[in-house]
This record gives sequence, C-alpha cells and structure tokens, in this order.
Amino acid sequence: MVLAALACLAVLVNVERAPERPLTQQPFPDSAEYADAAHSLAHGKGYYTYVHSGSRQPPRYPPGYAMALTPFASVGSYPRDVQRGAKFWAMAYVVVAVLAAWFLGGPLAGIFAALLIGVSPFARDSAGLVLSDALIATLTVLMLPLLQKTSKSGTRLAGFGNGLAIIMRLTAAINLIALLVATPRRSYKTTIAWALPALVGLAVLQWAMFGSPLRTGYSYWGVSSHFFALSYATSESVVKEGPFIFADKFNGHLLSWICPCQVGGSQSSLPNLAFYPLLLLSAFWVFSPPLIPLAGLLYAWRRRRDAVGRYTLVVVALSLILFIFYQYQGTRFMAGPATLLLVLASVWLAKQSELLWRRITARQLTPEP
Amino acid sequence: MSRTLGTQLAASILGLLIGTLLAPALATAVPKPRVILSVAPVPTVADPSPGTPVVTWSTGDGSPGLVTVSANGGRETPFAAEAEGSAAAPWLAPRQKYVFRLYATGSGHRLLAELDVGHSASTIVALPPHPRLTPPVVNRLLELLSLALVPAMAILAIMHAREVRRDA
Repeated sequence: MVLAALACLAVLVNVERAPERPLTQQPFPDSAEYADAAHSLAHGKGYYTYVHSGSRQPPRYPPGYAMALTPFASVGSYPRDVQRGAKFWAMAYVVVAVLAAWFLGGPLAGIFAALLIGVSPFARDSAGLVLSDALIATLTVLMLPLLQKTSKSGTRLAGFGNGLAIIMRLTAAINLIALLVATPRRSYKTTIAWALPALVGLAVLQWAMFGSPLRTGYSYWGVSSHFFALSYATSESVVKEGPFIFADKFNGHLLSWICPCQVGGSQSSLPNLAFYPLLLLSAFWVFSPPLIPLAGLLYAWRRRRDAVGRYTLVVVALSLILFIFYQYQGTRFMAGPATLLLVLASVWLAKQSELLWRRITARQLTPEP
Repeated sequence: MSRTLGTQLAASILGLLIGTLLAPALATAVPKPRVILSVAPVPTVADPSPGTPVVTWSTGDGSPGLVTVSANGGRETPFAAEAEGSAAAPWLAPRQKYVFRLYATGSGHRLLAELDVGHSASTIVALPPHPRLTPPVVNRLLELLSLALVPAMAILAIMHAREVRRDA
C-alpha cells in the first residue's frame, strides 16, 4: 500500500514539474478560449472570450472545462493561474486513475497504473496544456470505482460527473450512455436526475447566448456543419492533429513502414478507420506502452457481464464508432477509453502477478516426493 | 444579355465585402477586416464560355485562409489555401451548382464567407453575428456555480466512500 502511494506520488511530482507551454504556443483557439473564458467567468464577466481580435465573443466550446478552471482563475495572475488549474486537473487524472486501479485490483494494480501512466507522455504533456482532455478522461475513469462498489451517493456522483463531462465536450455523452448500459435499471432515474442539471444549465446558457438551447458555439462560429460523414472513415481529407499536441513517445516509428508520410509522420498519415484502433492498442505510445491496452481489453471482455467490463467495452466501442466518422482526427479524443483500458490492464497485470506469486510459493511449500 | 447578367453577377459578387467579422459588441475601435470572395465571369446557359472563371478571395487581415468548393451539394474539397489570391476555375459549368466557402484557418476553422454560384447565382455571406450578452445576474450565477463544482464533487465522493465503508 505504501509502495502504491509512493509510486503515485512520484508520478505526481513528475507531472507537477512538467513545463507549462506558453499560451501563445498552445492549440488555438482551444487553449486560448478556455483560459480566457475561465478568467472572464472568475471575474463575473460571463462566458465570453476576448482572444479574437480583442472583441467580446462567445467561445465555441461548451463551458464545463472553463468552469473547472474558474476557481484557479480567481486567484493569482493571468494566465499563470489558469495554467496551474490545468496542471491540477492533469494531476487529478493521475490520482483518479491510480485509485480506480487500486479499488479494482488492490495496491499492486495501483502501482502498475502509476508506472504505466508515469512512463507515458499523456499526463505530463497535459499538465503543460490548457486542454480539457485529461479532465474528461478523469471523469470517464472515475466511473470504474463507482461501478465496482455501488451506493446511492456513488450513483449520484456518477450522474453528476457525467453531466459535467458532457458540458465539457458534448461527445462525452458516450460515457452517460455506457453508464446506463452498465448499471441496473433501478439506477437510471438517479443517474439521469443528477446529470440533468448540468445539461439543462447548458441549454439555458445556449438559449441566452445564441437564442436557442440547441445552438452551440460551433454553430455561432459557423463550423458545425459536416462534422460527421461516412466518408471520413477512409478519407484523407480529415483535419489531423498528428503528433503536434500529444506526441507518440516512439515518434511513430512502430508504424514507420506505412510511410512515405505527411508532415508529422505516421501519426498524421492514417485514415480514421486505421488510426483510432491502432491508437487504442497503443501503436502510438501516448497513453500507455504498446500492447498494454490489449490486456485491459481482455480483462473487460472476460468481465463483460459485470458493470465495469460492460462500461469499458461500451465506451471503447462508441468512441471508435463516433470518432471514426468525425471530421477531425485527434489523438486526445481517445484519452478516456485509452485510460479505461490502462486501468483494467493494470488490474489484469496485478491479478496475473498475484497468481504467479501464489504458484511459486505453493511450489516452494510443497514437499518433494 | 447574359454577358450583362454575368457582369452584374461579377459586380455583385465582387461587392461582397464583409464589414465586421468579429464585430465587437463593445470595442468599436477594432479595425474592420475586409473579406473578399468572388467568382467572375460565371458561365451561364446562354453564355457558356464568357472566359475563364477566376475565384478571388481575401481573409481581409492577412490571416491564413482556406477556400473550398462543393459541387451540386457534394462534399467540400479544398480549392486554395492562402490568405488572399486568385485562382482559375475553368471547370465551372452552367447548370451546375457550386458553393465556395472561405475559412480563416489561423483562428481555428472559422467560416468567413460563402458564395453560392448556381442558376440564380445568389450570394450568401455567413458571418458570426453580434454576440448576445448575458445579463450580470447570469454571469454572477455562472461564477458561483463554477466555484461550487469541485466542492460538490468532493462532497459526493466523501459520501460515497462513507457509504461503501459502512456497507462493508
């Protein structure tokens, strides 16, 4: 138990010491809008941003992540205060993932989770960026311990957390669907009731800002059409982030045989249909070392009748289905499902290690004939 | 007649100047970028060969731009990627419906202008409208809710932990 706590602490120190990228070098408009909107919220100026030519404009993204940064934007000097907030949420990602593994598979699983997160670039890179991916992944993984040991408060927390995830990124509705699939029907009412306030709040805010509860910042900025199409699965015309936000630790070398590649190497040269499954298997080492998620997938499949296994499988499947047909290709979109697989892989590794240890000690204790 | 129509069309399209893209609600001192997206001459049924159609565009402020075209409601394909310029579109044919779109790509992927080159050759300009401002009470409520989110999550997590421990 002490070892697990120490391993988690070591990773946290590593994440805390990650350099913060200057806001001007972070993905625009995402980071700039998040940071500036958090600053506006914290100072009672509403959910607006001034990053577009200095004029007051609504951000294109839902307000959840900016709201999560607001407590940090209330103290200190901008933008350092907001960047500290982003780092805090990256650290929360580590803590929640390690605790989830610990709850599911004991301290050894926690150690494995800490090691796998520690040797992978995602948490550390997230600490330097004002992006919502680590926090959405945190809320995705938070469901695992809540599903393992159910309680009334746990169901409320699950509903509340999912509502928050959706107002951070609308596609996080996947998590709520998966949660409803995984939990017994008697929990539906509580889960939905606790997710609903955030969604109703978002609808009211959009009504106030854009004139309709269904109009979003995307429609305001004229970028909401053509988000999804069947052709994006194989098309080369999707917009690709490549390795420019979250880079593969191997620089795409595992898949270098597919090259000649576009700028960014193999991480920016695959169609969605190939990219996302390979990413989830860690052919690009961003969330966990290569092939580790296979163990998580195996664990989830074997426990597909349990809430934890079913939730993981549904999140993975729906994420693949959704993002394969999405206009933008981004490594970070898989942060949630990839971390779920990492946690379950840690549990699997812990259980296999314990089994092996038991066999070895049993053999040593058995007297020779 | 058709040439006149083409000229009128070209003139009207060339007159497509978008005043304020990000029209500030409060800051009136922000310079107004001048966005241009035009096609001329446009082939018509009566005059299918008025000359090589040329697409002209400008994001107005030197920021990177992307011009796309979709034919007959099909998928958008990139046409050009520069802040401003002109490029020939000799494949424009009468009786076909083309939609050109100009995006600013430096500030995310933002639609600046849309040009409908069809039978009627109508022109539509898509602009971010002036933002509605939420009342101060809503802004204050948002601030308070933002500050309450983390404590609310923490309280629920503690309640869950206590409940699980009690059941165990």
